[in-house]
Amino acid sequence: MHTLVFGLLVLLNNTMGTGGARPAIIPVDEASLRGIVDESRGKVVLVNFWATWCKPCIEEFPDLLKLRKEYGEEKFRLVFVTIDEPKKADREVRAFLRKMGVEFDTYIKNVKNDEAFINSVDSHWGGAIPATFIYNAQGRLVHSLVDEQTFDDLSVLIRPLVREVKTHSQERRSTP
Amino acid sequence: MKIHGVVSMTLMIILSTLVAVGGAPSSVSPGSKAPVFALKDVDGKEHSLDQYLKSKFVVVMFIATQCPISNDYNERMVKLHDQYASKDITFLGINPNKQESISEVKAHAAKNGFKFVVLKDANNVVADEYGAQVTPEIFVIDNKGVVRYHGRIDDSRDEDDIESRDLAAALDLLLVGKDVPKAETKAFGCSIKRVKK
Repeated sequence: MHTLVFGLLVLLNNTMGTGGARPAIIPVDEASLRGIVDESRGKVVLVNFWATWCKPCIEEFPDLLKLRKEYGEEKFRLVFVTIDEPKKADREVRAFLRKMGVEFDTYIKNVKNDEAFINSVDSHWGGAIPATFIYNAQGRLVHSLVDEQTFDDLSVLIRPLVREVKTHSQERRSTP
Repeated sequence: MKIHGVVSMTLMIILSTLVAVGGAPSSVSPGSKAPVFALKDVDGKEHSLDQYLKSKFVVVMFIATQCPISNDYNERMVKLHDQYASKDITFLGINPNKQESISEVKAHAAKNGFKFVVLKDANNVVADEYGAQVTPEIFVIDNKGVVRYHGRIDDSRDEDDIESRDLAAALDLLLVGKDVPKAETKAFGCSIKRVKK
């Protein structure tokens, strides 16, 4: 119920009085975050946990956006999840995303039990941010990384995974 | 060749166990022996874990000067120290962050009225041995050197929203000779800024 009300508020806020579409900040819990990874099967997915108060998160943000540019949207999906308080979503979070030029939907943690949320992502994760989780095209978690990452660090991990992903046109060609 | 393959596989399994999350080794779990350490405080005086095992329990707190979450707990750490020091529990702060200098740690401790000893973990040696990932992160150690609780202080950054005072509850149980039923907890916090090794 809590999530539903918050979701409706975010939706209303995203669609009203803006004079045009703007990227949404969508609330997520354990199940919906897993759903995002599952619906992205066929792509390499990078989930990054960040917050406006987290300096290293802010420092690595441009490198993550560069990865999205480098690998394109057909084979790669970048999922930002902020752990800021939902009430901050429309001020600090939106202002920061605008400053960074983020023009796609991002997510905000909206759970009552942080511990369950942390464990649902990776039971070995202690809850430190920045944290980055990379899933292969089959939706399996293959890399769990805490602390600030660079474009080069992540690219080394992502490149081979993206190489394994077949594009639609490759799939059509390989179909007898 | 076959033996080589088995050895490689074994090494990979060992490595993946040791480094469960990239950048941080696996944490020392409750029930395990706490790694011994000797570190200098902000005035250069050396303190060892061993010397404090005369207390009933030692509360080791990995903390930071620049982490907003750790800083939200400054007052709570002082209150916990005040509440439990008279019950023969020692509190030790450890700062493992590479970018936070000894002078900064000293000024931060003074500004926040820390009455407990704060140690500088240069090159995050102790943080690595404990597998600490985050600030703030707590390890409660009994007088036999065994970890009895690991994790968060409580379940909310905002004091008004606390529902579970995990560290205080753990200490209360341990003081009356009981085990902590949920001896490992988690919360969001700042990653420890480690030196690359």
